[in-house]
Parts: sequence; structure tokens; C-alpha cells
Amino acid sequence: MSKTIRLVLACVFYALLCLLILRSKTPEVRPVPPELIQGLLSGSHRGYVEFGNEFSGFKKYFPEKIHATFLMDFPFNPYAPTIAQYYTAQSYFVPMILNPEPEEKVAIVYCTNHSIADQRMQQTGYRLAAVEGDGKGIAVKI
Amino acid sequence: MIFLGPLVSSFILGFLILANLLKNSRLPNRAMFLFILAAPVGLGTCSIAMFWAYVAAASHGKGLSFVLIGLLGAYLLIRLVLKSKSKAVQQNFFHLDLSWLKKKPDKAALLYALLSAAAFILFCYIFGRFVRNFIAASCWEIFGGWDARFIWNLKAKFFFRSPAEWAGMFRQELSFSHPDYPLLLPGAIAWAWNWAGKELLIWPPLVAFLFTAGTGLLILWYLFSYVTLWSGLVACSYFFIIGEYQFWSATQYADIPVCFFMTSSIITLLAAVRTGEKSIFFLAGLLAGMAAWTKNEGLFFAAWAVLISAGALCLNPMPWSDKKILACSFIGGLGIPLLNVFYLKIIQAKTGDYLGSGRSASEYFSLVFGSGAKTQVILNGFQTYMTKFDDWNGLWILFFCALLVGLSIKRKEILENSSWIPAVAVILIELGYFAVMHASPHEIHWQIETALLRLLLHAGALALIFSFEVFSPSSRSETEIHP
Repeated sequence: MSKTIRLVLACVFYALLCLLILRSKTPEVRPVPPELIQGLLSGSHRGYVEFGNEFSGFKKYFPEKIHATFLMDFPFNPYAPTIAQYYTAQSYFVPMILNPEPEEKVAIVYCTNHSIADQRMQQTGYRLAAVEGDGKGIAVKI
Repeated sequence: MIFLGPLVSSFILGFLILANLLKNSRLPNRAMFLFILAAPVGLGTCSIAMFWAYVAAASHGKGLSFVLIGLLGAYLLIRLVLKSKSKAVQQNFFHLDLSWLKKKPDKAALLYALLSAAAFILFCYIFGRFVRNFIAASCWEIFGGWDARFIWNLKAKFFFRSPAEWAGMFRQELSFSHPDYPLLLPGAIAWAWNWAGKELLIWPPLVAFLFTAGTGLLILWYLFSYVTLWSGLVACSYFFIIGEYQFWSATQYADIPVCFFMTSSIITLLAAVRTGEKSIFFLAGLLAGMAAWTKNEGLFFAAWAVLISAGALCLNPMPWSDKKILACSFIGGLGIPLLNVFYLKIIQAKTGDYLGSGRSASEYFSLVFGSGAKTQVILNGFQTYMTKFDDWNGLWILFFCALLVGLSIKRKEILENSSWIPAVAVILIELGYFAVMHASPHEIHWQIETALLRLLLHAGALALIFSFEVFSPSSRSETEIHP
């Protein structure tokens, strides 16, 4: 390959690359409060809430790490829009195993409201044992 | 700064492994290469050792992993200090190839220095911008994206919270978190959590940053060593403006670490072919194995890496006995992390989307070649996602142009200095994903929308390296690299 063609190709390539780099958009950045960064660096995690904290109210029911069913508005479907609630609960309760199928003696009921919760408990054979909010609580297998 | 302990310890472990392997090597800019790879290799090794410690001792796995890693570090240190054979090479360990600085100032040298200085300023600006964006994105989304929350960090919690029940992560009830997924990333995260005694929120984004920055710096190292410094700096700047890498780096997904290991394995293999040293072949194999210990796609890559190394050795005019030694070195390195993968897939988590799915080879064959409509959808997916300008800033278009130029005009040169290796790796990786998409148990449109962009990340850095090598005015000659 002649030196001239090589040089022309290189010039075009690098000119194009420099243009692409210089014209690249600077993503909009939301300023981060220094307290958040300090909390991360020190390990105190000030300003952050534990992942899955919304399930902290259920923790007192599980002093021992047993398996429990996680009862949602619908039977388990990985494509359901609210499925992240179950995954978040599982992440929060690790190493306890949350079974999405109604197979365990105890269930965490986490439905949108009490009427859906009642319907789901009836379908799956559970009865409410403790209430933790509207449509939320602990149920035991009948 | 509680995170400094695990960070420094993993860096030292990686450093010792690499220093032992490369102490008598003729690899160009060795110190730079070693500093880029040290932390990721250290984290990978910690993860491998942790897995075996948990397998062996479960409830005492945490303690045993510290003992194992400590002993490994001590052995490597003693080996490095006591068994160093060549003092000349040792003295030269931190040598950086800046010969152009020492040359008599002529027009070419001045131009090289000016271009390098301009490219360095550009790189500092772009990298600074990338770091600022990464910090902001990570602080606001400290738990990472979907897979980070519900796969990688979830598995790390099993390692950290209750070693006695760590095997809970393989239970079928947790099928959503893919029990058969490899554990390099969860192990690397749990390593620091075990060290600190708490689930450090800063650690997963820090690991993500190490791998992303490492990938960019590997591009810089390769092009600096084999093309020119300014070419490396421009390529590295270009890497850090690519929207896809900016976005996915902060999500803490395993795709960036697997991209790092694929890139490092292939460029190490390229360096190994050029130097003909068995320790570098071993390292290339080890890095390919670590890719397999990071994601299932890495297992596919490991097979391609074996094929590419076999091809490269076949094309090399060296005697067959030497070729056998080099091939064995590569397989030896590859085998260490692969043992973890096979133990995980065969003993711990027997079912998976592909391996252990119960489907026969003939079923896979008919899935791949049996549906023209599906093939069309997948091809359209590749075309659509590869040409999205905002996502890739034209990377894949550049790669295809480089392929055309390489095949038509620079064929001889590419064959002579083995520059075909990254291009073939990119093509094989993408062909593999193209075939696997056919066998996906998920709905194909959903699969493409959720996975294809991430899959394209894996070979992007290699595509970038090949493009720059083809379009750059001249590669350094072997004598210039190894005086």
C-alpha cells in the first residue's frame, strides 16, 4: 500500500475521530451533595436507606431463618411490572429464602390493598395472622 | 476509607501474580500493563479462592478464604524475591517505552511529541468528564441496575451474610437470579464486604469503575506499545465518550468486567504470539478463564480463545514442540478458573438457560438453523443496535470500514504481525451471540431488547483496537518494540 494512501486514510480517520470526540454530548449531571460522597467514603452510608428497607417491618416475624412464601397481587410471573417488589424482598431477607409459590407454612403478604390480599389468600390457602399495612401482613397456611 | 484495605490487598495479590509471570518477559511497557491488570486479576483470584473456601468449609468459608488468599500472596512474594533469575530484567521492570523522548529532535519527533501532548490534554479532559459522570450516576443509583440488585449483589449477600447458608443462592426458588451464573463479580464484592465486616455501598461501584477504567487503559497500553502513544490516547478518549460504556459502567452489571477480561485476554494473546513467551500465553489463558468465571458468555469466549490461539500457533513458523508448550501454557491458565465454572455448573447449580436445560444437540441445531423468520429478526436487531449513533458514536461502522480496508489494502501487514486476532475475536464473539439468540428460551424480541446492547459491549473494545491499528499510519516495527 502506498505511503500516500496510508497517510490520507489516517488523516481522515483521526480527523473524524477528533470531531466525534469533541462533538460528543456531555451528559447532564445532577450535582451530588458532598454528604452522600462522605457517607460512602467513610462507610457510614449517611444519606442512604438500606435496599429493601420497606420490608423492615416484617423482620420481627422471622427470628429464625425459615423459608417463607411471598404472596403478591398475581401468581409469580417474571414479566409482571411489580415483580421487582418480590426480588427486592428476597434481596433484603437473604439468606432466608422467599418462595414465590404458595408452598411454605408462612407467607409474607405484600398486595396492593386488603381486598386483593384476601382474594389471594383464599386462592392459595392462607389465613392472615398479623397485619403490617393495607394488603400487607403475615399469613399462615390453613 | 474502610474500602482501601480490600482494594490495596487485591491490587497487591494481582501485582504479585503478574510480576511472577512477567518478571523475565519482553512484553513492552510491562509496568504499565501490570498496573492496569493488577486489581482486576487480584479481584478475580480472590473470587476464585473464596469459592473453593466456601465449598470446602461453608460456615468457616470466610476465614478460610482469608487464609488461602494470604498464603497465596505470601508464596508469590517469596517466589518473586527468591527465584528472580535475571537481575538485568528486574532492574528494567518499570521501564516505559519513551524512546521517542530521547531521540534527537527532528521534525518527525517534534510532530510525535506535539500530537502526543495534544492527545494527552484531550484524554485528561474526556477521562475527567467520564469520572465526574460516573461518580454522579453511581451516587444517585448506588444499588446499581436490575441485574446488580437482583443477581450479582444478591449472590454477594449470600457469601457475606451467612457462609453456612451460602449455597442458598443455588436454590431453584431463586431461578430469577440465575443460580448457574458464574461468581467472579459476587465473589469480588463479597471479598471486600467480608474484609470490612459490612456491606460497603461504595464497593460495587468502585469495582465497576476499576473494570471500566481498566478496559480503556488496556486500549491505551496496547496502542501505545504497538502503534503510537497519541493513537492510544485518542482511542482511549474515544472509548470513554461511547454512550453505551458510560451508561453500563455505572449500572454495576457484569458485562463491563467480562468486556475487560475478553479484551485483556485477546491483547495478551496477541502479545504472546508476538513475543512467543509461554508465561504470556499462560496469562492470556488465565484471563480468558476469568471471563468464563464472570458470565456465561465468557464460557463461549473461552472456546473462541482456544480456537484463535490454535490458529495463531498454526500460522506461526516456530517448531511444533514449541507450539505444544505454548498451547499447554494457554490451556493451563485457562483451566484454573474453568475448574470453578465446571464445579458450579455440574455440582452446585445443575440447571440453566442453556447448559443443563435438558435440550439435546439436535434441538439446538434445529433452533439455530430452523427458523428463517427468527434469523431475520435477530439480523435486524444487530443492524439496528450496531448503527445507533447515540449509543456507539459510530464504533461499529468504523470497525466494518476497518475490516474492509484491512482485507483489501493492508492484508499482508495484518497477517504478518497477527493484527487479525482482535478482528477475528470480534467476529467470532458476535457470531456466537447471533447463534445463541436463536436458542434463547425467552421471547426473541424481548431477548433482543434486553440483552443485545449489553452483548455488543463485550467485543467493543477489541473492535476499537482493530480499527485504530488498521487506520493508523504505521505500527511500530518489532525491532522498535524489542530493541
